[in-house]
Amino acid sequence: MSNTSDFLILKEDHTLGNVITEQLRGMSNVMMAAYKIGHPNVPEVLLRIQTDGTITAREALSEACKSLVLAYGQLETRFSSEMSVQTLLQHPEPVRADGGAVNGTI
Amino acid sequence: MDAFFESGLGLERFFNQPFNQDEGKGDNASPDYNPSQSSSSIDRALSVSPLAKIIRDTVNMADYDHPMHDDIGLGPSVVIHEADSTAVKFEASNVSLPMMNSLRRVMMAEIPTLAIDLVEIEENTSVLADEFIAHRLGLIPLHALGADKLMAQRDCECEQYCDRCSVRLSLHVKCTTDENMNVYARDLIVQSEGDDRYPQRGHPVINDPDGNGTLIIKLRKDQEVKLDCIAKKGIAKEHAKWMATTAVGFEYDPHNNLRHTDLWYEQDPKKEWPLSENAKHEEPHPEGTVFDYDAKPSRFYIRVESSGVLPPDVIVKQGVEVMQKKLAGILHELHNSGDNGMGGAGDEYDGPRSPDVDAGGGDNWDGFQTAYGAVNSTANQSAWGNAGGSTTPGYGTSYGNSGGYTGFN
Repeated sequence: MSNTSDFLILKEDHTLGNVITEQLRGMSNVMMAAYKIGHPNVPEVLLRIQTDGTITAREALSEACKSLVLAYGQLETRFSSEMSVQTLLQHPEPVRADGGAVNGTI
Repeated sequence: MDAFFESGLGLERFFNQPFNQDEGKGDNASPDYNPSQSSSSIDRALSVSPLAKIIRDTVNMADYDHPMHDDIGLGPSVVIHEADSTAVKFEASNVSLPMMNSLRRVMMAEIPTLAIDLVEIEENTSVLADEFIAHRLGLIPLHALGADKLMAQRDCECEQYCDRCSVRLSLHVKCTTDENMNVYARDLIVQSEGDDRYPQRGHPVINDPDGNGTLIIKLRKDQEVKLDCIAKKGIAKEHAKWMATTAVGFEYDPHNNLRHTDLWYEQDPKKEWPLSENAKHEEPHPEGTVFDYDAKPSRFYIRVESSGVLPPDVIVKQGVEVMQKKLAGILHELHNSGDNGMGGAGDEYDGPRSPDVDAGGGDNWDGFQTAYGAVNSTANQSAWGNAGGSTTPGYGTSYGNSGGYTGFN
């Protein structure tokens, strides 16, 4: 099938496999996306992507990765800004864990 | 401080600014570290590594008109419920379960930290065997802020270890009194030349009121221990001593509206199962609601508890960074093998590629995109791959040819 590809990702596990396949499944031109880890002791993820033919599986994978990088980036930005507000609320004057004042270094 | 108030509100700022441009001086969450130092050095590291370039380009490329991101207006949002120097509790919404689960897994297993990995024992007349002490030393938590900027020892050019890939600590104690003597982590002395940006890096974590740190060994009169320790960068996937977290709480759908759990009960699950603390943030579905089979979880309650080696918010941020680097690694490989005429797997071996030179230090997860390449197309299609079933040399031989997978072609 010309619209289907397998990708072998080395030294990765469910952390990456699961998130990528789930992202691919959300794309309208991807018909099927799945991954398997053939053996728990073998650090390889086999990823299969089947598209509807309007894009290649490779393009689909690339798009999925980009969206994820972006989504994680946004998560981080939101987390950071929330965190600074929180810090400000809690410590108008920053203090160290041992009660001493922050003097620029740890 | 102005910067972050804006950044919290407007997507405009987020998309119009270069990624990781100094993220505001108020970026620090925990008072335990210097915010300006940490954000600028993350900048520096990200600006040199090729993976970081991909991440930055991807984020900068995004705009409202791009069809790929038409859902970005509903992108992830975060509310922090509690934060202190040891733990942060937050709620993330509009995120997918796999995304948050990957973040959880990465925070537990793949945040680079420092731990003693090599011990050279010169003198040991204590009651404990050498290897016993070595093991105990390995488990001592060391401050890891800036550990990600350290080279991975196996990527370093040095013969065995050097200041760019390790921190050297020494311990020399002898009991001279009739009373037994306790040897604590505070007795470990850092010998390496430190990095000015991270003055605490490699120092033992000491949180107890007496300032002792972990108890290493007890000595009787005339017993002596003299040794040198080499602390290296590592991740918890390799050994749990490199864990940055102690516990990561992860919950969604506290009322079990989605029925992802099947609660065991005697008479009435509602009476027998106490609601979690997070239940107050959500409403249970009223009795008799028609079950929505397509419903997906989108709100997650996460509590990240640090082991003390890194502030908890830094763990979250580095977790995101690790995930982004993994994804960027794939993009990197996809683009690289695409440039050379869609050659497929074989073309990744045109010649040896030097490992990423990351001024701030190598990344040990970069291993996947060095010599053996991260992504291999084993596609059986002519469009952009040559013959299928090819796998990486070396890797393939040790684990059997990927042809084995073609079983489900």
